[in-house]
Amino acid sequence: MLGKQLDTMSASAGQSCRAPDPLVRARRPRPLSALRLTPHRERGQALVAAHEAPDLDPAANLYLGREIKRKGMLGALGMLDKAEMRRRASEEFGRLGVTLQSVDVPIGSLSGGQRQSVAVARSVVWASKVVFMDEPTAALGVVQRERVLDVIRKVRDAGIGVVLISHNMPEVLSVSDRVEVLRLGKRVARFTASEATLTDLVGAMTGALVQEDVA
Amino acid sequence: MTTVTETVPPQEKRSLAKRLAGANSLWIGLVLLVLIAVFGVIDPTHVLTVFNLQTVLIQTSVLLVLSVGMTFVIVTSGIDLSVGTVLVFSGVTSAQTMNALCGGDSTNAGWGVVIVGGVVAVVSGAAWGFLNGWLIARAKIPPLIVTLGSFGAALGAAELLSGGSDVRSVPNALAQSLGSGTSFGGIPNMVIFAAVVTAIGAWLLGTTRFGRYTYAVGSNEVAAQRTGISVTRHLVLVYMLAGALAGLAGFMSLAYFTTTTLTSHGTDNLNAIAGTVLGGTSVFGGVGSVIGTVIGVFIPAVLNQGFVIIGVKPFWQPIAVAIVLVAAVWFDQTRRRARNQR
Repeated sequence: MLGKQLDTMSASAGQSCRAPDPLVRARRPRPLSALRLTPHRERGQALVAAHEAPDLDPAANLYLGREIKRKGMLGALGMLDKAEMRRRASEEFGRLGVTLQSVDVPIGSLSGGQRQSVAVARSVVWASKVVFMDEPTAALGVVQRERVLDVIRKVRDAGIGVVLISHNMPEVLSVSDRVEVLRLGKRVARFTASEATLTDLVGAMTGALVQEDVA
Repeated sequence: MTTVTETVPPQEKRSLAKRLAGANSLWIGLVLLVLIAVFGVIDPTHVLTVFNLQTVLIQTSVLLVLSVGMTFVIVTSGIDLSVGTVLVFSGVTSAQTMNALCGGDSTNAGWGVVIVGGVVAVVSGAAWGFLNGWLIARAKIPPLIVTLGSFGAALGAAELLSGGSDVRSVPNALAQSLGSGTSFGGIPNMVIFAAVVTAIGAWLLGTTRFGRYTYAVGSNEVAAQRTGISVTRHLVLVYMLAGALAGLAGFMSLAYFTTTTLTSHGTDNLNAIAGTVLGGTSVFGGVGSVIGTVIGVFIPAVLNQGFVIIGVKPFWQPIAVAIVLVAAVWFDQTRRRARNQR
């Protein structure tokens, strides 16, 4: 599973996505929303929540909820090591190919694509095994979308599994290794991305194409 | 499994000057300096005297302590209208406790009693803050309504406790040390006390995790929740902090005026909000600083004192403050809109 990208697509938006068993190591598949954040962290998994605090800088957003404290007494009082967080954030952004003009401007003043890249980086930095991304490129322009996809590819190359949920077929084909098509809450088809075509995917989504070996 | 190795692109570090220019508090600080300079040029013999400085500083120190708490609350995009009456309530509970400990008249009470009085004031304030925070964060009632309620309730409770008349006996030990004493060659103890509280507040908001979470909750509550911050707990703590500081301000007021001043804090809440917002803290949350608040609080004080000295009717002061206040919020809003369109 590691190093692979898996795409799931549901035929209707808003349908709850069920996480496949081996990924979450739950006995039964559970709706994604039911998974709490904390156990994820422990298992090295992370959810991309496309939410950040627009008034905080990228480093602060990256470390939100997981701040690095100073050493010694001041740290025990809750004082943050901002320089260390900024330094490590620069490093992580560099590693993931997220280019920002500055790491200390509010994130709200960045472009949509950069903001989303930071959000993706945020989840990726804390994940060691698998990341779930639900429509991470929705509402982005073409250029910004490409930038986010680049980040996703880098994550994949770093050996972290990415589950990308998307309705955008060309995007799915361009970044994924394996594609799982969901229709009405069930998996209806499974493809290797390099062998699948747009027509196959759309066919499976709409129910025109039925694979015998799955479902 | 492959590992990505790539050199870190040089991240441009913003120069100090650039960062300062972007900060609201710098501009408002300049406004304050210009005001002082203008009044100073018009009437240099009066404005920059030690006595005038002392008067302005003492009068502002109680308000400053209230405003530090208000800064935390407004950064979470909340509001606390109750600080002025919580101040009064805490003053009453504190004075009554001290009197009760001394069998009715605490004028000659010792330091032990004074310390108990201080603790009672802070705890009374924090209790109101807890009530505010719980109703806002747990019951999801808008802060404006909750604190409008406690604004009235705290004053009512204070009047119930005191029977509607001020408690006038305050330990001399307190009045002569914190209230009217000076240290380091003439700096009023009230001012030193307020400065220490403010410095701690600035440290807490600017450099600690508590402060970082305060900004995060104000900037985007949902995002804060999603990253695992307990927003409810944090909001309760922030309102408790504001309440505790109001209690402390009540204790300071008690020391300075040696009475509970039941009727004279009705607009403290508005003054604290004005000072905080003037200092660059955004009413939309997520942005602000205690340093800015310090500057913001002094602008109305300097205007007031300046108008008195140069002979302009002091009635102009609220009008001038109003103009600057509305302009400050307008500026903040325009800036935000420009940013969010990108």
